[in-house]
Amino acid sequence: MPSSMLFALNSEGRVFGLATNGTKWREFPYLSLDFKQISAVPHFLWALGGDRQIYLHVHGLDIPIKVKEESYENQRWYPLDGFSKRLLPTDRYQFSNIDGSVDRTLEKIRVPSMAWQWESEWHIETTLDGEPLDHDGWTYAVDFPATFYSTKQWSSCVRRRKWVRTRKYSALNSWCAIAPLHKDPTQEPFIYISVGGQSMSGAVQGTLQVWAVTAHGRVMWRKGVGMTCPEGTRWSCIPLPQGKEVKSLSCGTTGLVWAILWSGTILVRVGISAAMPMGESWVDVSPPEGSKLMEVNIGTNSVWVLTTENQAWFRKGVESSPSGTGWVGPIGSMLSLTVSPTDQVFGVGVDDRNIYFRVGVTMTEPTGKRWRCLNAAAQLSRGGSVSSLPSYARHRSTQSLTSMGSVEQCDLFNETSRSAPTSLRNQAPWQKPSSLPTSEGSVEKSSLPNSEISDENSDECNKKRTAWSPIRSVGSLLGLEANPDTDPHAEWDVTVWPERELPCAEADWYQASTLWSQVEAGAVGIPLNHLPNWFYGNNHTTGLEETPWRLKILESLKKLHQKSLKGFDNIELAIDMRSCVKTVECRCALIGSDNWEEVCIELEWVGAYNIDLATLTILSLEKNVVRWQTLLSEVVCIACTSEPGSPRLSIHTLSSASGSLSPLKIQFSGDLDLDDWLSHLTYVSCKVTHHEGSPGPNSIWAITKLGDVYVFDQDPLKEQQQKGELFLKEFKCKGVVVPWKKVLENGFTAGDSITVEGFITETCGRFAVNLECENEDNIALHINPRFDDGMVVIRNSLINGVWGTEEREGCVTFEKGTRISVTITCQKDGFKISFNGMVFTYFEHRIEPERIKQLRITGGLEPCRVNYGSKEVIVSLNEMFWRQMGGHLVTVETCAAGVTWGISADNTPWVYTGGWGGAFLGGLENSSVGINSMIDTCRCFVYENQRWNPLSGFTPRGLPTDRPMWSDSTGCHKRSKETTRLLSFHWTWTSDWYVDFLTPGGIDSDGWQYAVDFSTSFHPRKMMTDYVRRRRWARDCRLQTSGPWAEVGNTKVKSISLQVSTGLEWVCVWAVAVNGDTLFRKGVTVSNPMGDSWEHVACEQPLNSISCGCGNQVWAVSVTGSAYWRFGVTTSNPTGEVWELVEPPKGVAIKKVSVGRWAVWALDSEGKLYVRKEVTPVFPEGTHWQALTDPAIDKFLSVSASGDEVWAITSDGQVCKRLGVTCHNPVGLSWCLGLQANWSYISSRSYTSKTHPSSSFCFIV
Amino acid sequence: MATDREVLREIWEGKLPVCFELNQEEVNDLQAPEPYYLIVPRLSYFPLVTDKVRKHFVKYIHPDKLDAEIWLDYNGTPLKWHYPIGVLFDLNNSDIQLPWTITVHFDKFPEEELLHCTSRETVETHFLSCLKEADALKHRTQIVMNMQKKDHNQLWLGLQNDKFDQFWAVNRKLMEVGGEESFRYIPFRCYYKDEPCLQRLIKPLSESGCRKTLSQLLEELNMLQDGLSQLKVTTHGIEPPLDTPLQWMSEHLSYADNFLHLIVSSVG
Repeated sequence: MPSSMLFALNSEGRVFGLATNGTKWREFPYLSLDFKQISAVPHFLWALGGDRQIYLHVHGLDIPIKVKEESYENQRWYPLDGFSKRLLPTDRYQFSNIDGSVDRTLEKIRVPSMAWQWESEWHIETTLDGEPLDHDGWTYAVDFPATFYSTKQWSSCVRRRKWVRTRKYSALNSWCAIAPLHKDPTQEPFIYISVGGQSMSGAVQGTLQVWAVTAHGRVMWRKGVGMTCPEGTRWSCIPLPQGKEVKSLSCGTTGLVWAILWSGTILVRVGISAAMPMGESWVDVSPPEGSKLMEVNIGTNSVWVLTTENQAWFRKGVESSPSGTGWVGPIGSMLSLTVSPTDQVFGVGVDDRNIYFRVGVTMTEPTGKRWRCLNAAAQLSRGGSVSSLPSYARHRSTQSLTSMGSVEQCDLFNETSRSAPTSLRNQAPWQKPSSLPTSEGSVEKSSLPNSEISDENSDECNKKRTAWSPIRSVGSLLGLEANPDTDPHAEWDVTVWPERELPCAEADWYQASTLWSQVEAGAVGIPLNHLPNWFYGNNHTTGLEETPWRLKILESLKKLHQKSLKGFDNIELAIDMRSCVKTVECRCALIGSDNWEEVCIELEWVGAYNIDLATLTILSLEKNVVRWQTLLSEVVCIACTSEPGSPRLSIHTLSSASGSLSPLKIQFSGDLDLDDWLSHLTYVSCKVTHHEGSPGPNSIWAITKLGDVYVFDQDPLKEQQQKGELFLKEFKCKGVVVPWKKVLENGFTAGDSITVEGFITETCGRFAVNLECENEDNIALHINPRFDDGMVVIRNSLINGVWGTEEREGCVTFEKGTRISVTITCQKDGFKISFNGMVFTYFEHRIEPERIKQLRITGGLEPCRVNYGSKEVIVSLNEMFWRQMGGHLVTVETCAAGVTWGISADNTPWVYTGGWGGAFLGGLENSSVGINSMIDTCRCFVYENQRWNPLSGFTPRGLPTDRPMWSDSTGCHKRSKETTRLLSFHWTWTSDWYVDFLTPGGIDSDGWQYAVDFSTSFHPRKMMTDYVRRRRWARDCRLQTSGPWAEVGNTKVKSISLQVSTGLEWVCVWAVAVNGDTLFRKGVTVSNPMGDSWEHVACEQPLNSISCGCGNQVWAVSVTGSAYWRFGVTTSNPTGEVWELVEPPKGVAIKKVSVGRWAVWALDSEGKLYVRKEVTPVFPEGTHWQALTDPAIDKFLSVSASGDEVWAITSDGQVCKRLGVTCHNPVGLSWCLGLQANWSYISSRSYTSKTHPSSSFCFIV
Repeated sequence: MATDREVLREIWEGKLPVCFELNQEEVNDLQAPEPYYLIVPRLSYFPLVTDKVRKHFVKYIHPDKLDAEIWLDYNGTPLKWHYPIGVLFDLNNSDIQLPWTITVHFDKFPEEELLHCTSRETVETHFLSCLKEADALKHRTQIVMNMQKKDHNQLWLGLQNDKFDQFWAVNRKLMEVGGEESFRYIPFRCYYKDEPCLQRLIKPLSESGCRKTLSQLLEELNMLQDGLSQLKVTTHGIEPPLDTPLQWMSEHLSYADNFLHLIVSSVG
């Protein structure tokens, strides 16, 4: 869950924000404008200014709001003139929108308000669905309504091209005034504002509903407000029943609107839907017995009201009907209330003006338990306004004298001031700084030109920092373009919203106590039972108290230990090392079997601090028969493979992995047992194999389909294998059947060596030791001692099935029936061959040693041991130890510096903190730092299928051959709303089932999609031939877990890539935001893996995936499936200059790219892999794509090309590594398969088995 | 929540060197046995660590007493087995030289002063009842009661086998505040001037919601007649500063039975 903001208004009309990850209120930079009331949704804060106008503050967005204006230029072909801009009378406008219905003459397209600025000039778009067009961008068709193609044909009668121009919302992080209702802003000022509707079912994502109340008691609804148009287009009046006047209102997250009348009764808007967000009519709801209402606040499923006596009441039953069913209360006394989107309630105390939080509000107990004071200190801004502060103070005091007089003058304001920041001090609440003319309370004065505003107190600085008031800038009302060069008032005061509280900025803030008048929780995303650190002192943020008493206790404890045990080292411990045993009864399927049986499993470990030995035993239920047993040191991966309702663990061991057998599967009786065993097994197996703490920087990260994060760390392996310069690995092969082959993981290049030890059988006629290349037809070295043919040792090579010239000098120096060791050392020019330690001969290379892949032993040799020595650490894919790290992610990316980032299912970016642990380890081993709680959200879907029949239309009665009427998306599995269960008790439902109006492919107003048959493609409108329809139901759920991850900012991303270049301190981090924009993270280093802030990098096309690699290469994939390459990326300009289109392979939509050292790898939407060839520093975009064709493995889920290795996950969740990837052959030779543990994602970007990675590109000579 | 692992670990690691000697009068051999040295954890109980001691001395005593229950004394005062070892040590701390010399008896069980402890199960029963008592003080809805038998077992085995992680994996659930700001009452036992231990209902927060400190606890126990400077509070062999918050103390400085054992003595 990203951090979010709670807002509050103090009694002086200043706005404050409190971040969920912060502990102090921070004042918004003061712009000489006070506010009376605020209403917020994430990133958008709407406020009622002191001048009774509406203001909007857009903040916390890393991605600028941009809108691409489009206009199509249409031309028709005439026999003589060719294409001409003369069109037929029945044709569309010369410049039109895509379907030709609207005139879009370029000159007539303007920015909607002063808050927008053009970012570019009009230009022609030169791609069509990812396919590049000529520079003039024309596309051709038979007629305008027909399909357009990129090339001209004989039948092309019309052509068109697309002009685009981007406009940008430039008022980010500053207050923007919304145009008043009338030309004279004082004619009908506003008295109340409310924003909501961000999760209205069926609405386009990002639309918002803004409702306001005017001083005349009228209700206004703002049209067109949304993410791409934060300020909306215009106010439209919502008629009220005769004689009713509204005082305040509230719009909930689902768009529900309640209004409070001046009479203290309620009107509820009914008929609100995505199609009709302003609703249809009002219905009356009576207030709680005998009380008059003042204020209403709506969350998602709850409505809270305040009576004029400040009593809070809760309305129950609003989730089923908009007007609810009954009142609950009174629930305490509050001056003002607010309800968050998660239905958490905050209020301002009546007497003390503190902010209170309602503790214990849950779905089952929506009214909560009690009020609790929120003790966050308020920090006033000192920075930036130092010079204006003294003058401001002076100005206030003089002002309050003058404005006292205006109370009588202005009854209208007086009446409405109830919801406003009323004063405890003797001071008029609507007092406004004098730079705003209406503040003087006199209506006539406000129409004066602003030259009148000359305020002796406002110095130059003050003027610059004033807010943009509609009274001065009626421009937005008239739709004029704002031009900062010509409009002196359009000076944007861009105040950058601090993403996190930087300690260095502390000096710019000072603390003060303040009296609150309103709190606004509309933007707070705190989940139930998971409160921010607002209720404790500052020290609690880390859980540790760095106070003198703690330090003293710790110090004296340490001293005491030393003292009391000094000199007693030789005394025996009372409690010696003992073994611990854990048993449970469960069901299990043994390795390689799918036969489930009732067993009892026993985990036993020995050791006090370090576990020396641990075994896992499967016993029969009576515990008298040992069914199976393993040492925990032979376990390579422990993974949760639960399905809803069946909590399961899979334990992969060396034997199951190397034999490609299914792992040991254990099914527990409940989630508690599963958690208990997962934590113990993981803990013990990691302790036994010495995998603890943070993994080394060159680790491979992977994620399972359940979202569990795993890591393969080669450092322990390195330690184990390193012998001098070489890494040695011994393979026991006693008793294997010859011919026997062994894949050489690191190949066999100069410097490598191999020793085969074995026994020559008595009956041996001849035997052979071969070093084979990619297939049996190519043998680089064939050593063949023959006892039956003259006692010679033949050396030869086989190239494409043809034997070369035999070398047969020298004779056999060993005998049958003896042990022998054959040592082959690869040198630069040839192989050195030794028998029993004596050099026998040399054999010159006939095939490049880089091609050698495996060792084969044939004939009468019984091998017992093979020693393989390599310059790099030898990683056998089946023996890799995968350690669970904690947390729940769907994507993980790492780089050679060890900086690792991840993305969770709700698109939140996370950065690895260096810890190990979290929920999966229970309390067994927690890193003392860096374990944070994580919340992730997911959506479950079921499809409702129906078939049409002539009598009753669409019914849930299908043909016998049809899919189940409630199914999953494939139709293969029966699903239903009732039987859909969550994976484990860590997951909770957060909503009920609803029709998903965002189903891909489009839907009609009831959510249906139609098709000829279930197996064909669905479309949103019913056609004559459509016989079936379906609709998607969705339900949201949430996971509460913890892991070694820290949340990064609040910008959601869908793809991420990291790269560290040699010699550079910082790490390049590129990301794609959910809307397809590119982001570059600034300030990421090994010591600051989170970096500082996002920098937005413009891109014409919305992107899907990004990858940056060595040599300043950055590649991306657009949503249309074409690839892009970033031009101009250098170390001094890491964000580059422009995106260059790289055409995808014909007819293929690319999904993901990964930039390797020698080539760029791409994964298409079908799961096929392509390699971009001839990527060189001179020609970084490469020349062509090569499809990877391997009949055995051709579908992939994920690919990660690293320094010089390529790792991938096959479609059935198996990890694999590309063998033979070199700079001469970037495509490699073949796949080597590893563990199948339901993997879904892999990042090997940091992984290089080369101990001395060469830093630069390899030039192909 | 008990989050300060460093402190918890230090507390857990508290150990004492002990020298066990057989009571001279009970020696039934020509030669007096060698004393037996052991390092014992402060958090443990004597019956859990004296198996070896018994085995060592049993050869030297009168055969009639072979099956007798052993009991210990220090300087003539019988040691109550149901107090954690660290508490017993701190109670006598003023004049102990390390190693702590304890006399082992097989005979003349002081029925008046000591409870019988026939087996480890007796200790387990006592330990669990303390846990439950502490839990009842701390939480409105009791956590121990809702735990499974295996959790109880894990706590007990963790303590018995000196396994920090095993013990704390379960114990942290008991140290959670469960949606509240703090514990209901602080479970503590206060030992003052040879009186039987003092127990009161003391809340960790004051009326105004502030965290109470150790000095406020002493104040509520009416121990401040002579002023703060005249008192010394010892637990785990150290003197926690008087401004240490009670809630934190309860979470981090409690013994395995979830009680704070505070030894209050006058200075001078």
